[in-house]
Amino acid sequence: MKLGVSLAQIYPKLGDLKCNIERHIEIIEEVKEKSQILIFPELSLTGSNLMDLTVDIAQTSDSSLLRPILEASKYIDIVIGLVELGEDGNLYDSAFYYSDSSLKSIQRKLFLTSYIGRPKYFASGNRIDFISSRWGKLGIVIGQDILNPLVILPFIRSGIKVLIVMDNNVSVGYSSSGTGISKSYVDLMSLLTAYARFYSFYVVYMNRVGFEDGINFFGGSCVISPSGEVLASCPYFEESVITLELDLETFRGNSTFLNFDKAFKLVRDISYEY
Amino acid sequence: MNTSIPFDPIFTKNILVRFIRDETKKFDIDRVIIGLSGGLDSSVSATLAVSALGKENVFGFILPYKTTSRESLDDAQLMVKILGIQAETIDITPIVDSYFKIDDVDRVRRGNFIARVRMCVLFDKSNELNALVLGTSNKTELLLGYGTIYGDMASAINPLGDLYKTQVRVLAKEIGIPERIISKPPTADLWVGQTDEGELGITYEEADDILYNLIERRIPPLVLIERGYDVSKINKIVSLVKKNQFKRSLPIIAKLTDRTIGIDFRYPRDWGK
Repeated sequence: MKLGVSLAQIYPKLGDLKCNIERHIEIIEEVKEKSQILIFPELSLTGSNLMDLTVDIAQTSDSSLLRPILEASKYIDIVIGLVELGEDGNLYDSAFYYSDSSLKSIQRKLFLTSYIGRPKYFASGNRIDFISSRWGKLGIVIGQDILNPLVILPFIRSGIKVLIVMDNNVSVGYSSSGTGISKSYVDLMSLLTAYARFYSFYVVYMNRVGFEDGINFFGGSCVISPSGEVLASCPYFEESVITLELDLETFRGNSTFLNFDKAFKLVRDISYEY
Repeated sequence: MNTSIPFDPIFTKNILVRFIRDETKKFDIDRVIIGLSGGLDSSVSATLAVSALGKENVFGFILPYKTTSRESLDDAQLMVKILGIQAETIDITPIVDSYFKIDDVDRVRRGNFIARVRMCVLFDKSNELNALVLGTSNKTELLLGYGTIYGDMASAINPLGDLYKTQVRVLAKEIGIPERIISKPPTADLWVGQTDEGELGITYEEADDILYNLIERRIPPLVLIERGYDVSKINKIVSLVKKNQFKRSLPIIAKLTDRTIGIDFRYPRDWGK
């Protein structure tokens, strides 16, 4: 089975929902004929360094402002990032998965980083959901949640085919490669390549570009195959939309080291007091 | 002990050139102006700006006072020539001297005044030319407070503020700044014979090494002393960083309401951009 996937590496206008929704619709129109899933970065509708704007631009899951995106999902599955006003009154850094003119799944960010004061505004999500699509199971992880190995464990166990990582990766640190790429990006790529390679799924890494108050987002969104190969990538620094086809038949069986029942038992039985 | 500070000049140039381009164009401005002293920092800032916006969109201002050294002026002119930018020289001696009237004034007072007159000229030109003032303060100066608040520390955008002085030197080599500008002793040139290292009592190599360990690696001062760093140098740097925090902050506001600007009313500068 083949899956056509599009990656929209955009430069959102900070706190300008209307403008960002228009941009999303433009891109949807552009790719809907040639692709089955279109993925945007974390907080794609809002931008990242929102401060008090977080409160101002939050949307409930049934917000009428999001209707054009919902309706466009008649043609193509769409994954967006936004500030969600939850039914509990809390704000979440969320990813919405739209398909067949409905909101099929919401994944909220699970672990909040202290970076640029976000915890003050956001509450943390408390569940991990799979998306059962016509192409098999998909998973969504937001930002630095990917750094917690236990977060991807349920995805590995259930044999997902594609892991979508929606990020706002800030360019930080000097890598020793001397190739002009930020250390934060180089380190993350090593991790994602290892995940894809050893746990046998595609990783769709979706980052954004641009500056917000001096903070740079690097871009470099890409698709990594289950053999650990980067199949296609967006450029660094520049807005870009790429489309490619994933061959979902190319999966290897899980290895013996993924014997979870044994691993759970060992983790449970270990003594943490030294 | 001397830790080498990690640095990648290509990555840095990539980010800084785009930073200048983005953070000007967002405000519908595509020009910058910069005070050229003939020193390393302003030469590097100006060169990055030319890469970002093109030489026709960068304006240099050379703003000498009567004690400014010939060498500084020559080097500022050299950069104008190399970059091919438009530049103007404005002698600020009459402005400064008409205020103080006498020559016998505390040199720090006069030095700060000179720095602030330059700021006034640059921000006036900013209005005239519809251009943003490009900053030149590096991280070492900002941390040590080695600059005049509302003087040379004032700017609209500052590409160098997260780079230690020794990193600016490496970047300068990468982007082709003439060797004589890179290797001459850094000076604010606010009075005859002034040098940064003479005034600070420590070399930039030493200061950056200590700052890197204190700030980036978060190693406590006492641990650095245990590891063989000079006690007096550590203490001096720690006290300068602390004492000058005010220079790195906006004026504080007395809180009276639920939404005090800067405390509970917090919006990004790039709001809607």
